[in-house]
Amino acid sequence: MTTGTQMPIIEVRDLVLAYGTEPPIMRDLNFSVFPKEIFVIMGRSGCGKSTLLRHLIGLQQARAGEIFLFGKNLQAADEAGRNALLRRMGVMYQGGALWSSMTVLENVMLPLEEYTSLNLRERKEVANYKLALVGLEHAGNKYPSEISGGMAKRASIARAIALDPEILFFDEPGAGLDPIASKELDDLLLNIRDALGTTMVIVTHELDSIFSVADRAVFLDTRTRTVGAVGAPKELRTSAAPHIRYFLTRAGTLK
Amino acid sequence: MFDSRKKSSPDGKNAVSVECEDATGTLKVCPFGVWSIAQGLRGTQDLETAVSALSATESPRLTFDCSGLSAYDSALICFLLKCIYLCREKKIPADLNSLPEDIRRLTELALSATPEQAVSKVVPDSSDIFYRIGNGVTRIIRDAKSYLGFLGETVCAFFRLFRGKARYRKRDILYFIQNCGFEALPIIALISFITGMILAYIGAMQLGQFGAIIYVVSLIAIAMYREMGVIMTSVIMCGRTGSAFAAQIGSMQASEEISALRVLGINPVEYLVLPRMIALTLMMPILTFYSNAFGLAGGFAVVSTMGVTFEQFWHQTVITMNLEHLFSGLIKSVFFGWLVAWAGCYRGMTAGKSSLDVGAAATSAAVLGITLIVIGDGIFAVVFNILGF
Repeated sequence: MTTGTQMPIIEVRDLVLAYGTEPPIMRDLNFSVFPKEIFVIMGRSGCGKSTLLRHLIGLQQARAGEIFLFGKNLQAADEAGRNALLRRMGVMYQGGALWSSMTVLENVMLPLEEYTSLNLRERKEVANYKLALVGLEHAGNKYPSEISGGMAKRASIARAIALDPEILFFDEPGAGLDPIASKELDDLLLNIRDALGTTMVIVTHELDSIFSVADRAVFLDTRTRTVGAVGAPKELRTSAAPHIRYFLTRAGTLK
Repeated sequence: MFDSRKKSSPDGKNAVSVECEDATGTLKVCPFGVWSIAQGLRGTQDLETAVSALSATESPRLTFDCSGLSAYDSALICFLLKCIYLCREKKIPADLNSLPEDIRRLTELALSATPEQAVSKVVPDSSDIFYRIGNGVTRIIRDAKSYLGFLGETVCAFFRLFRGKARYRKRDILYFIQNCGFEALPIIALISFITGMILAYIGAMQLGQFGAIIYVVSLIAIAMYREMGVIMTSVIMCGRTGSAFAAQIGSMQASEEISALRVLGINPVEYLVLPRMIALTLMMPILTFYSNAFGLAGGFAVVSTMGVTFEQFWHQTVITMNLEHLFSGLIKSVFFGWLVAWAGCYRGMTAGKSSLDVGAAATSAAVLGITLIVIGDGIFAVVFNILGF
């Protein structure tokens, strides 16, 4: 789904990722994500995938460089402008990050409560519909501690799509799931993309997931500390530099 | 059983001999018998002496002879590795082929494992005095910035609250009022009652000598209302509620729930910190008042055994008390409630991401809270003195 003429929905220019005063984790990151694309950020553990995600969702300020969301500069935006940008996207965190003091349904209702003028009955209706989309309509009244890890991830997706965002971010969606739950989650992502036309950015290193859902991917290279390659994963597997092929073939054991 | 663990010297079962062929310079290490971790590890002293006895002109080699070995576990491999490392240092090549197949494989595996690539960091010499001073100073500055930063955020959140712009759930306030108010009543009653009793005994110890037992009542009333009631209540709430706040918010930090709020554009200070601070600030004066009553009851329980009747006790309390005494404790309790809740929330919001950090946040919230209470009480003592309150 690479579209050369289309305006990118996310554009990262010369981004430098760093914590505090420590030396940068990644530098000179450049890539673009196009509308309705499923874009994967991959790399070895500790390479800065999740840190890059935290920058993209505005939780961390970049040391240098720019991030454009919907053509607007996220780093330069004031709080109101930043919130306006953030409202157009949803995030699913690694462990789900459901608010533990609320039921699953209330979790999905909170974004609606904050940003829409719907009344309680309408909010419930919308939230139940979102839960039905992820197959959790029966679990609305449960607390996050009462549901399984896979369900928590689904509930987190329902919360992320509560406000019909244009971009969805996922932090390691397959982590800690059994193979079937992981496959079902991948199918869910594809369904949501096809049905709602949402752009998705996924941080993962699970090869099965990468090959089954990703349109394009960026490989973060721990050795050079910058982008190793950008492109469709299947093409990268045959054409990229040897160490990236090594990663994509599970250290040479997958063909 | 513990004695046998201390015994790390072998008892002949897992002995080793080192043979040195002077002609070729070959060192032959011959472990024999049973090698077991349970019997302790064996040192390489014999090999060291043999190595140092070699003359420099020879081209030495290290070989092994395991023909006398009857059983082994990791103890043997550790010993072999030590021998190989020792010889590596002296640039003596080791002949692994002289080992039996299974032992050779284990040894090669241990030798070939490459350590995980660590992120190269410049680690400064921590024994350097200038490094330590600089580090200490920057840490103090960083801490001060973080205290002031959070203080600013909470004050701003309260301003928005007073202007009706803060976003939080009213239901949360009611929950925390129940949690830190009603549910704290039994422990506060117990502690305050005992505090009143202790005050009575201390007072009676001196005043009884002058036959002025009735003035013990005045002492109990003033001490409870001005200081002990509010201090005891604050300390209890610090340990009970302040650290709970830190743990709650800290674990939300660990599970990224706070990030989820931030990305949604909800200010976590308003949403999480405000309800807790409001609840505790509202409840503290009520709890203090309640504590004062139980303190008096405890005091009466003691002085009644010394011949003071309830009428005398009541009369003496009423003529001793005035508005200043009554309100100085209650005024302080409002501030202390705020401080305790603030300390708990601050430690929670600045907690790290691991489960250890949550525990550390809870502990340090209690310490910070109690410190702030005592400092605050000192400031109030000076101010009240100046104001003649």
